[in-house]
Amino acid sequence: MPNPIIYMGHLICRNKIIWLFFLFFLILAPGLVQAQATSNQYIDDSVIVKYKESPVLLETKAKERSNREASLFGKLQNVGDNIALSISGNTAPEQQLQQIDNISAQVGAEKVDATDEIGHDVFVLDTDGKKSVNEVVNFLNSQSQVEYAEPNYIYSLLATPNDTHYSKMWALTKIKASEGWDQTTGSKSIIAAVLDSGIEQTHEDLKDNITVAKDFTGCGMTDSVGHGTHTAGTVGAVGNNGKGVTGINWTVGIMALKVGCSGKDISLATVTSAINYAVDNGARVMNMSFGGSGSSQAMADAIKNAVNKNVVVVVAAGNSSGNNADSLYPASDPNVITVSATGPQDELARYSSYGTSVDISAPGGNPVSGSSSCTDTTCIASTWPGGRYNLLTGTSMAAPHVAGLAALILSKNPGLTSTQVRQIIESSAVDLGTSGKDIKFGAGRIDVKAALDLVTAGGTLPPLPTSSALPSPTRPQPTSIGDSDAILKVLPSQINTLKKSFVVGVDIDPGSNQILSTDMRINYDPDYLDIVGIDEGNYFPSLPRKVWDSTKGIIYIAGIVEKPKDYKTGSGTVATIRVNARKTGTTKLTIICKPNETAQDSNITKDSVNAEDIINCSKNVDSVINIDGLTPVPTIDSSKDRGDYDDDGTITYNDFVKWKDDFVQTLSRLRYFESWRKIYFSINKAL
Amino acid sequence: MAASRSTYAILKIMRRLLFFILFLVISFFLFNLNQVVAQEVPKAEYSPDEFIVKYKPGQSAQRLKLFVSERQKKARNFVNRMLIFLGDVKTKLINQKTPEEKWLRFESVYKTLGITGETSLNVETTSQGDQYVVKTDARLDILKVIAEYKKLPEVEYAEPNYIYGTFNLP
Repeated sequence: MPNPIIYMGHLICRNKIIWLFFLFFLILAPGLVQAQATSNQYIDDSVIVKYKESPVLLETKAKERSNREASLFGKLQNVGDNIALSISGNTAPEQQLQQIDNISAQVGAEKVDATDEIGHDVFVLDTDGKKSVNEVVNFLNSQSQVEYAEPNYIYSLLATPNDTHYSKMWALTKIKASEGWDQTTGSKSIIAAVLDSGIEQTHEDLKDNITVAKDFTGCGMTDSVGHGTHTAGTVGAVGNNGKGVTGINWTVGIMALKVGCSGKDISLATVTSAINYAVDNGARVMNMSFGGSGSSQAMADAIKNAVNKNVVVVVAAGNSSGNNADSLYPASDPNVITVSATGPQDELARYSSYGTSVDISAPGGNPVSGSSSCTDTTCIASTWPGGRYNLLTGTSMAAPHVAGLAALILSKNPGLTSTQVRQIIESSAVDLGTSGKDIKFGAGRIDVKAALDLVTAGGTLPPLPTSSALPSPTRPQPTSIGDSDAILKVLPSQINTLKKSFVVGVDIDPGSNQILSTDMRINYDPDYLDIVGIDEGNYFPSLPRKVWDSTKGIIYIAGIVEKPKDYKTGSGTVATIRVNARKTGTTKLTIICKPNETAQDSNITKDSVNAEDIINCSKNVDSVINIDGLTPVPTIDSSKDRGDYDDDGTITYNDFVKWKDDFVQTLSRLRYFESWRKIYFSINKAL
Repeated sequence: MAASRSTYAILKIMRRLLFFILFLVISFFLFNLNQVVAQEVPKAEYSPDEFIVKYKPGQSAQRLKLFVSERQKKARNFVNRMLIFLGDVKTKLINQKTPEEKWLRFESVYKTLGITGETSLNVETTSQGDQYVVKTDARLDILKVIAEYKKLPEVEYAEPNYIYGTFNLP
């Protein structure tokens, strides 16, 4: 669906009268407009059409053909074109153009030209209004040249969303969200991480905006307390979808990271892991509506790293009502934006903590006593598990308003740094309390419109952190993204035959796809085995999991399973290797997993787990997994005839290098002859 | 006359006192109704059997374990064994500890402190390497365990695995 703002812009320049009429109407009858915002409004004598072939392009093509007609060679070219067209069953550009003009004439519109284009191949047709819009749309949709046609919807002025609970969201009115939505309503390419108690992924008002959901607790992604679902809804519940609430962002990429099961058990370990994960996976904004008295160096390190990598980190000040935010963490961290809570009259909420750490304030509700006394004029409405909505209060509710604003600012200009975003939010705030920055309200209460006014549109995304594998707007957006999942199981019987240890390599063949991100995880049964490390050329003894820089296409990884204990015989899984890949295109990914051929040799040295070893291994091809769950594709044994390693009859430099590696590998296996290793190094040096 | 004057004075003081107490009681009720009583910051909570550690770059226990096991494998080869031996002599001469000795120190610390295992806090490679969450059998007070563990030269810092709570009002 094209951007409503494009429609608005179009309305202004092309249908001034209707625009004025509408404005007039709005001034006279605001109540009526409010009522109509929920029904679909459209202009009576205008429709939006997307042609399969752009008439503008067709016209240039036709012109080119007629120009060519003058010369003999051009004439021949045209004849050739015609033959090709008739074979493929297509019509010539002139005829297509004629058909499009006929369609326009039948609905009483003028010939379509470049001035009507409002988007990519999308045109606006101004009809004579004799037929109803519905008739015109149906007629157009039945035409073969038209990809789709739809009424020229009027999106309510001041971008008021049609969500049913919008009228109860006083906080959004307070922070002038609707005035800001004239400029942007958010973008799916801005990833906002919500570190919380999970999220209800199936919630009708959230699911379209959830990009990633990840559990760091081990108790499952389900949000059993509702807190995470509520804060995520404030950042980005789907807006203008005719139901429920709207987030500060109508569209945004929510990265829901579950760091606590009950909400009162959020451990430093899970939070630090989640922050590191968010940074590496392209988050631009992070919301943390929790805290406690434990001031941590590990979290401070992670936050500093995040801010350095252009992630805006927003934290709730705390609910201890008093000047005590400085003794709460992460509220007191110098690198985060600490948010105190305000009520409906811009007063500091009675429960809110404050202190020198407070940078800004935002609505968090201010009921007489706790959430139990909440009404929709005092508390914050947002999404709630079970497909429901709920009113809550706390600095927890204030922080996501600021996080949402940060994402909105970035959607207008993704090129801003985390410091710039922070400066924009603070300098545009409405000053409350003592003039200037004070300990209760920080720089003041956020103002969405004023903040967005400070943002110059455009700008490109700065380069994402190195290991980030998410598509960035600077790259062309993939046409389709598929997720693939493969599970490889290592069975006890295989371990038995492999004696003491083995190495596996995983080889992802993207085919015609482009891999956007890959994610591999090894789970193992500690009763059977001891996994020492996962390797991608270098030893990296950490969690048995790795995310690759996907641009390489084919990735090798080795896991060493060492010191097996007494194997139980029979069925059962020793280790599962799970590979998940996000890719463009619809073709399958092939994931090949093979134990290393040197596996039976208990003397595994560092050299024997090199990536080259794994690709050269072909002896023990174990199982080939087609990740779409279809028939396995057999792998081709790599040729062993020295000299021509790819059977193409020619010997290239690469063949020689492959031969050299193979030779050296053979040598290195003769481990009692250390002098051979010297030869290896001298050959390596010579090359 | 003088006595009655003094009793009058005492009565006056007592009446004032009574008023003051009444005022205190009433104001207490009023404040209680409004719930404006400033709250104390919650006490720091932490896991009783886990703590967080950051090792100096490249000096984590797991890395050391791997390094030692690699050396042991290499040592099966006579030439390598000689090389390792000479290397160890050199290390000893400059008054440092060999990887095996370092690992032994780790193992003994593990045993005395009841440490059962450690997991990295980086689910993937980042610049934030070498942060681990260490699990113990909770036999000893975790704060004492942390203080002891910090004494290892490989450790940059160690701290309790703090527990945080969400900031919504019930």
